[in-house]
This record gives sequence, structure tokens and C-alpha cells, in this order.
Amino acid sequence: MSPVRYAEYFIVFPWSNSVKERKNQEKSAEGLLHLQTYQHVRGVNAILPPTTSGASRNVQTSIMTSHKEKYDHNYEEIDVIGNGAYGTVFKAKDPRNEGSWVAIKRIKIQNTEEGMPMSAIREIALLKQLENYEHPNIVRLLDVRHAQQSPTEIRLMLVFEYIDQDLSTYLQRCPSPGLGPERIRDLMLQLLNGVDFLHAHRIVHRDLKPQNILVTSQGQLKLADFGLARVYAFQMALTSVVVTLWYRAPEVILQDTYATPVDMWSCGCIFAELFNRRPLFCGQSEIDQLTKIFDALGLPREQDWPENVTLPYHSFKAKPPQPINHLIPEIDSDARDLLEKLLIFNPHNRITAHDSLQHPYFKDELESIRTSSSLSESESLDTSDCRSDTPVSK
Amino acid sequence: MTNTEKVHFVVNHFINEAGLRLHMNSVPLATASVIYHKFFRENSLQQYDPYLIATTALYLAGKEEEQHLKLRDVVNVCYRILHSTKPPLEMGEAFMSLRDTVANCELFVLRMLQFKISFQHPHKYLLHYLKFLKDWFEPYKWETTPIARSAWTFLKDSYHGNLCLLHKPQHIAVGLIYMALECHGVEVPLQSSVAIPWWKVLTDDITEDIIKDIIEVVIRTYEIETLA
Ligand SMILES: Nc1ncnc2c1ncn2[C@@H]1O[C@H](COP(=O)(O)OP(=O)(O)OP(=O)(O)O)[C@@H](O)[C@H]1O
Ligand SMILES: [Mg+2]
Repeated sequence: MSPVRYAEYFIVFPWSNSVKERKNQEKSAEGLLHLQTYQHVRGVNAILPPTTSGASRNVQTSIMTSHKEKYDHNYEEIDVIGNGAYGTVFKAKDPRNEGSWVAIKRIKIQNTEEGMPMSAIREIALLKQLENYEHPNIVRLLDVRHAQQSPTEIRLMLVFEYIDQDLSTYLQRCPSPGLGPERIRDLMLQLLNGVDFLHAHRIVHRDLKPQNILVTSQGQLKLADFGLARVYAFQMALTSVVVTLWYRAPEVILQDTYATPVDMWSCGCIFAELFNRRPLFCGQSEIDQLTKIFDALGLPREQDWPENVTLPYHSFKAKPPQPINHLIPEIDSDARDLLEKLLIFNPHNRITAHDSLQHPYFKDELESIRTSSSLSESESLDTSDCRSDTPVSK
Repeated sequence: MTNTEKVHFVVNHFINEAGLRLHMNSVPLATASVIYHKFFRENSLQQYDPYLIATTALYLAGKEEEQHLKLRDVVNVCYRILHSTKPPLEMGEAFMSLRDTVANCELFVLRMLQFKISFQHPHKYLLHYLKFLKDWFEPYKWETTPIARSAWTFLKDSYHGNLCLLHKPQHIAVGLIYMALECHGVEVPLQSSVAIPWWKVLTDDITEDIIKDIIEVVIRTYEIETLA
């Protein structure tokens, strides 16, 4: 094509600048679209027909059913795996993939006259977009479908790859004397790598705990149950299941604003648990949880206490920090340094996922992994692609 | 030139017009068109009313891009454009049924697209690349040739066809700049003395064939219009 030929088109092109401009062009130029064209096409297809309600219902139902075979093959639910605060997880068979196992999470979301809530659509769309990266430390989301709807409620099914066990079972099954330093370091690296990926996409997990971390039989760690906080919000109001406090960052318990550092705190708690094979801080209530944290780590400095929170600083007694070796006898010095940086009270000073991966604790592993696989992937992520919605909230 | 392409062209023109009346920004508008094109990549015009899908795509794009539109406004605006000679819709059974149809169709489209309605558009790349290129030109030359404006117009217009499904957003941005430069008979300065041509500097996995294909797709889209 010669430049002359492009120029020809250039003269006719601008029909989409603005309604006003375009209207003028419509009057003057030949060959541009006229509104009549709509009329023409409207004759061919029934367009948003000026219907009676009956007719439009029919359109709907035929739409909804016509592709049933292609899209709505059934999963065969076999077993209930777990009952969380946000819904039930089933183990099921996927008839498409030679009956391979899947884990199906059923959740309810609000339906309104305006359709599905914007937040739910955005969060699920984001999860689907993340799927393109096939990150090794993120559980695969295979399918999303709505099982049922009523005027007030839509039931969604999120279909995940099935993974044999979660980290809590993995730890329970682990024989004495425990995982050993190499295994712990490998799991920790995978955990932080997954969290770094989420944070690079501005997703805060908010509920990292051993039950939401899955471990394959090959020892690959995968994060589950993230990115749906606002989708869950609707269902949360309906259940009375108690959400565990043990992995909660102090700023969450104090109901200060929070963001990605909350996940780093949880990583710290989980890190300790990998050594001890029991939870680090097992609070029975919010105050009890904070008290247990301060018993171990010492009361934070007053200037680090968040402003405008309901629990005042002086309601806690001053305490010196305990040596970490009292909490975790077998920890070595690099691991201890990383743990201390994860369990920093002030979220602004807490280590980030990205920085934690550069920590000397991982030095040897990083060198071997850099030359082969997983890390490079998350490092080369184009973070400018992230969307602007950091889910920061109270 | 197939009749299908013609229909999609006209319907995307409708999307554009409705979007402008609803004061949608260019990115949500692009999302609406991509949703539409993706839907009809999988489904045929015989099965689904393209204007219903287009209306739903507009509404859904508003949600996805956090520019929430009232369903009522979407229905009214779309109805007005399609039935310009009739009186506007009144609140009543006809209105409610249209509204419910779109609300239900939203779920249907989400299902069809598997909730993959979060897209990378060429817009941000085009913005970056144009800024970058500007520095290579003498200010006077750049100011007097509407390269940026043409490239942006090509981009908007390209949604009348399915270019957005055929190439990477980075490539589309480069291809459209290339086309704009050629339209105005302008060359990027100093090209004879550099080892890597400007378009490869912008995004290194692009080839001349890709650029040529992008330009041809856009021209073809313009032809649908002129040969109508
Ligand atoms: N993809 C999966 N494959 C296998 N098991 C899974 C999968 N996803 C979740 N599970 C299991 O299902 C259990 C219940 O999950 P669910 O998320 O409902 O509850 P939870 O994690 O205990 O609590 P919460 O709702 O607060 O996250 C988990 O503990 C986990 O063991
Ligand atoms: Mg869970």
C-alpha cells in the first residue's frame, strides 16, 4: 500500500470524534454513516424489540438455555471438603477432563435490579485475568458459572483445580522432628513468591492462613481463596462462622486502614508455624490476640500505635520482647532476621513481599532458581499493567 | 466484504454513539466493543440480537471499568438511538422488560466470556509511544502535523472492526502510529542513521508484517463504511 492510498482514507476517516463533530460531517461528507443504516439492519434482526414483557422473557429463556450443552456440562459433586466462613467447598469430578478432580466453591452474591454488583464482576474478572499468567504458586481457577439466580441472589460456582491437602493437614501429617530447614525455606520461598505476585497485581489476600494454602503431593505450594473479599462481603453477613484471628495483623485487629502489609504479617505467623508445627499466636478474642502478640514481641513504641483506633495504647502493659529462640528453638540467624522483619508492628516498616525475596535467607535458593524457573516470571511482570484498585479498606 | 462485517460495523457505531451520549470515557467504550467482538467471535448473528448484546456490553463495560452507568440510562439511551422516530420510553412494562432483559443478558455474556472482561487496551501504549516519538521530532514539525490526533482516531475507529482481537495492544499502538505517519507523509527523523527502526525500539517483538497487517485491517474497516 502506498502512502497516497492511506492519505485517501485519512480524508474520510474521522467519524468518531464527537457526536457534534460527527453530525456536521454527516451533513457534509458523502459515504459516512447515516442513522438510516440502523433502520436497515433493524429490519433484518429483531433489535431490542419494542416488546411486550412476554416476548422479552422468551428471548431470555431461549438465550439461557440454547447453549446449555456446550457450556453447562455438570460437575459431579462427590464430597464436602470444607465449610468456611464464606461457603462450602466440594470435591467434584470434571467430566471433560477424563473425570479429573476439581474443588468447587459455591458462593452467593447479591442480585439487584442493576444486575450483578460491580465489585463482584470486577474481582472475578481480575482473577480470570490473573489466570493468563499461570503463576506456579496460585491455584488455578478453571471455571466460573452461575448455578441459579433469583431476584435477590445469584449463586456462583468457582471451579478450582483440586489439590490433595492444605498446609495445615500437611503440617499435621509431618512426622517428628518436623520439616527440616531446607523444606521450610522452600515452602517459604514459594509462599512469598505467590504473595509477591498478588501484591504486584494489587490484590491483598487478607486471609492468609494454613487452610488457605494448598500443597500438592509434589510439594508445590499454591495460594487459594484470595481476591474475593468484596464478593464474600455479601455472604459474610449471612453466616455466623467465626473467622480465625491467629494470622491477623495488629492493624486489622485494631481496625486501622490496611493494605498489602497485612499479608506479610500472616506470612510471619505461618513461617513460625512451619518450624513449630503449631500456631504462633492463638488468641481467643481480639484483645487476647494482641496481648499474646505483645507478650512475645514486646509492646510496640507509642509512636507506632495507630491514631483513632478504639483500643488505646495504654490499655496494654509495657513488656520487653522475648528472644525469638524462646518462641522458635531451632531457628537460624538468617531465618530469624526475616521473621523479625515480617512481624514488625508498624505496617510501614514491615518488609514487603518483593524485598523479602531478596533476603539473605533465600540467597542459595535464589541463585539456583534464577537460572531455572519460577522467580523470573514474577519479577518480569509488567506492574504498570495493574489496575488502580488497591483493595484498601477498613 | 461480508454482510456480517457490515452488521458488526454498524452495531459498533451504535455502541460508540450510545457511549458518547452516556458520557463514557474512551477506555470503557473500548471495553464495550471488545466484549461485543469477543461475544460474536464465539456466536453467530443468527442466534443473538446484536443490539441487545451491544447494549449489555456497554453496561457491563461501565461496571468493569468502574464507570458505573445506571441501567435505566443505558436502556433509555439505546432505545432512543434505535427508535429515533418514536417517543421516548416511559416507565412501564415495556421499560421494565427491556431492563430485565439487559440485566439477565449481563449474566449470560459473563458466562459466555467466562468472566474474562478485563482487557489490556492499546490506549496507554499509544499515549506512551506518542510522547516518546515527540522527542525525536523538531517541535515545529510535530505541532503542525496531526500525527497524534490521527493515530487516536484510527484507534477509536478500529473498534468498528475486530482489530482488537487480532493483535497485541502494543503492536496495535505502533501500527496505528505508523499508519498516521504514512498518511501525513512524515518520516521519523534520523532513521537512516540508527541501527534499530523506531517501531522496534517501542516494542521489540513487532515485525513489518505485523504492522502491515494492522494497517490493512484498519483500511478494510474503513472500506466497509465506504463501500456500503
Ligand atoms: N482447590 C482446592 N483443592 C482442594 N482443597 C481445597 C481447595 N480449596 C480449598 N480447599 C479446602 O477446603 C477447605 C475449606 O475451604 P474454605 O475456603 O471454605 O474454608 P477455610 O479456608 O477454612 O475458611 P475461609 O472461608 O475463611 O477461607 C480448605 O481448608 C481447604 O483445605
Ligand atoms: Mg479458604
